[in-house]
Amino acid sequence: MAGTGEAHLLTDAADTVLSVHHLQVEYRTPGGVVQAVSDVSFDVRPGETLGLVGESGCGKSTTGKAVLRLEKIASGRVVYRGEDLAATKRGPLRRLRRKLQMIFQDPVSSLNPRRSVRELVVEGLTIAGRPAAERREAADRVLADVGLDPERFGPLYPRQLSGGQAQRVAIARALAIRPDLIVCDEPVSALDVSVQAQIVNLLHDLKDEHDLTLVFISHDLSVVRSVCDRVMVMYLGRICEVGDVESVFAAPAHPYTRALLDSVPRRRAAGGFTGPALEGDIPTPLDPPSGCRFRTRCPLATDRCAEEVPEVRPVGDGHFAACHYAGITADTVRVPAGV
Amino acid sequence: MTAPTRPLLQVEDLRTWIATDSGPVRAVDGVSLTVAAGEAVGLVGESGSGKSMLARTVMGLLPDRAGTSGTVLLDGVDVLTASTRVRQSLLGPKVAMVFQDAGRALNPVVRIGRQITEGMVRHLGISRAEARERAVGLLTEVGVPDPRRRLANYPFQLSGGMRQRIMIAIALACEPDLLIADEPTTALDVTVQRQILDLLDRVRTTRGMGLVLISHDLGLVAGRTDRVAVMYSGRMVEEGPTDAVFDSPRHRYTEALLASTPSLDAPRARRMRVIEGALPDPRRPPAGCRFAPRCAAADAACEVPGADSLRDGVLGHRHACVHPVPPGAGGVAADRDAALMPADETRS
Amino acid sequence: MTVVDPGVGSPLQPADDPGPRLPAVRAHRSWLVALSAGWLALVVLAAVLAPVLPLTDYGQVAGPPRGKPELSLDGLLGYDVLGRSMLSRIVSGAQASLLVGVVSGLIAFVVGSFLGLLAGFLRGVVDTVISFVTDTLLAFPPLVMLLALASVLRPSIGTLIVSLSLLMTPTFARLARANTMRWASREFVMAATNMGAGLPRLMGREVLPNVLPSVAAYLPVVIAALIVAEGSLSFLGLGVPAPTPSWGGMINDGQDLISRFPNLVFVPAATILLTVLALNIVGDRLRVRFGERTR
Repeated sequence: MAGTGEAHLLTDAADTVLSVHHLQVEYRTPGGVVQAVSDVSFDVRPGETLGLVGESGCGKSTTGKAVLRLEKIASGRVVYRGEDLAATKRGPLRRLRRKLQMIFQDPVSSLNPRRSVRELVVEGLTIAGRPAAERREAADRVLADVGLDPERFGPLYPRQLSGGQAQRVAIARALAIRPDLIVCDEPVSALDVSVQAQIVNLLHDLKDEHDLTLVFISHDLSVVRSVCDRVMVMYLGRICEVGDVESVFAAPAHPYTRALLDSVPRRRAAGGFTGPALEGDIPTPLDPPSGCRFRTRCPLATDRCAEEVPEVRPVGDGHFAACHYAGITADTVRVPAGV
Repeated sequence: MTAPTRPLLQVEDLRTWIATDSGPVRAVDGVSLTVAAGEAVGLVGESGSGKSMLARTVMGLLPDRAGTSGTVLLDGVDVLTASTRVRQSLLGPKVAMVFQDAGRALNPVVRIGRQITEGMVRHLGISRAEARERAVGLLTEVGVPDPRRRLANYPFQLSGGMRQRIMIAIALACEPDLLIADEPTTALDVTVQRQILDLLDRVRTTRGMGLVLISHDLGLVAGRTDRVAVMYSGRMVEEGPTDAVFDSPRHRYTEALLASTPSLDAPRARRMRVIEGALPDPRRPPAGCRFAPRCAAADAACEVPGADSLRDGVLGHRHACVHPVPPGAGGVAADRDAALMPADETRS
Repeated sequence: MTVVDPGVGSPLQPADDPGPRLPAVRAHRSWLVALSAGWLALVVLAAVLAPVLPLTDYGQVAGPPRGKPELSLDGLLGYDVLGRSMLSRIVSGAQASLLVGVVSGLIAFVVGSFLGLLAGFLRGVVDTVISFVTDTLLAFPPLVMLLALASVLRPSIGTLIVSLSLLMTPTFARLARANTMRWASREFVMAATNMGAGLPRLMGREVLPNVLPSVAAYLPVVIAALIVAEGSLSFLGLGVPAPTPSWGGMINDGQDLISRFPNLVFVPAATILLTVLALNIVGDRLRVRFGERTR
């Protein structure tokens, strides 16, 4: 899409934990203003895991951070249980955003190297000024929750932890202040395969135990497929496709989604891939293509794609795509493309 | 797939240890591997398995504190004992390497053109002008658009995918018989990774070059290699024809690793199969099988020194497991209950 | 012990096998560091204990003028132009030289780190102003600035400390600013923000404890530079005013007679050399230990 629109949003806002409308995030760079996130809308339903996928520069991480107001929002609304975070003042925001926590990609970088594990996991309570006894109790509880023995790991410092252990500590820290929604930004990308599975399972278990809603940002489609209920595919700051994981992965409607899936190395496919490669590189975000931002690399692109920004529209049950030719294969469009 | 000729690369009982304050780290600890001319071999393992250190030993890129034993024959010449001059003459024309992070492997203050032509002028004894012409041809071959203009660029002016293409062009410049690619696409996006893998496939088949593809990603190696070798904690645990290893892994580690890797092909499962525990301390590895402490099938026999030597199997499919997975039982479809062990990893 | 089917390939070596020959792990020239630390301890001890040491007072005549070194406590390093004990003057001079070096170094460290933290964390206007001031100060030739200050202010230990700390503050400010920017971009700062931490906590509790060790690791080197600077100023007659001895002042006193009585200059010069060398060696070790650490 690389498109816009709100057709995929639930009509009843009461059914959502988080509802994002026309989110826009801009960066000032020496080359000009970059729209890292451009007119993105989505909602997150209670208890679900929503995956945000796409390649670097697609704006998935920026979207995740902007939702928590960790990036400056240029325009748009971020409604969390009826309150617009984008319009909330600094003071009330400090209390409100504690309900929305984040887990980062680099577990080592996300822990202050000069604090022990025991201090780290209750940092949120320390900031809130909770008494020492409550903090001690909470530390034991959350460390046990993430499978770390409080006696053994409590006194350790981040440099003494492996990547997987550090990520468990980061998860424990988020849990300690009893959040409602956790944004996980590439939480397993820096980890080895065997540890990755441990963390994914842990998140899955904690989600059930603590009634959490997750936004799971990842570039790894295989992980997203096993972790998420719904998935949103982004390209160059805009939405391509939203839908249930099963239907998006089984029948991708947007050509970019299809290209992404075809680029994942497969064990069983001839030549290792299931479809043709995508040509070229991602265009510079300083000067994104007009109309559909994916058109410069799209096998289906026509003149219409350059003129008209595609709107998100339904292509199946709970499945939406922002493409003028969503659901159409390359063969059927080749002819009009040549006209 | 190829008839046995003289192997291009023959690693015999290689050990690469690295001295540290707290004793030697056994990065590679008695590994043998052969690569025939024109063959593509995958080298798979998690971080700390020793796969990269093995490649660095072949290339003579070890840290000062490393020591080696065994032999590494490159076209019959032992690079571990050869003089620096002899070794230098092999790097480039015989073997070349592509690194994970092209941004760091390329010299940031030297123009692309110079970085490509340097090796050609030295090893092939051709003039600078001729080398430039060849560089243009190479860049065209690796799919860099507008190659003549790119020669004047600095690495920072190019995207990650373009830089990796340049790295491959540099590696190909002296027409090596063997290309070692160490996680060549790990830093790249999936669609760009796809392009680079296709490129490696193409240059390998057109040039009849041998390839060692090192990766932590099993799926990546599966589709594009003839044979695959799996390493764990400095040891080779399984080796054989790629299809045989992935369809019917015999070693418990290979089987567990395959099962815990999420894949678009496998049925969708909410809970992933887990390998509990963590790598052993590379300074004090277990006496027998190094995977035994994390293995559900392990017993006393696995702890006997020598328990993890490679056993021959059909079609050169070898494994180092005392209690191997029965043939045909493992692979992608098989799924057993996760091992019941406490969910904490131990480190050092 | 039963040997399991050895199979093919290489037999695994027993755990106590010596393995390939490895180069020895290089020690960090620890004897040199120990020697340097020992010298520094000796100098500090001498400075502190100067009043109670059994030496003739640094102002009193203790032997023949310009006397050669002899085997007595006062005469160990010889006598100066007035016949005062060189050893006594070196020991007392350590007080002034170390005081000036350490105190101005510390002031520069504290003020510079604070300014650097503000500039690096708050960025924007604060950064622009602080960076402009520090850059201007750095662009000024240090000797010219010190001479200008010395001509305006009355020479005393106090003014010396003020001018020397002013000289070194920009260095620390820049160092702290760069370190702050590096740490402030780390994700744990973002995590703390998201848990509701305010600016004082973010700067004081999250970033500062990580910035300080790497900045402080430069202190010994800076102190060494300041001791040399004090020496140069005293040599120009702008340092610690007479009769209080300082190492630089002693060189100044002896310079006219350097060809005939080299020990008048050689002794204080060697003391400065050894002290500065020791500070640099210890400082380098500290930098390796704390300075470049990123985790």
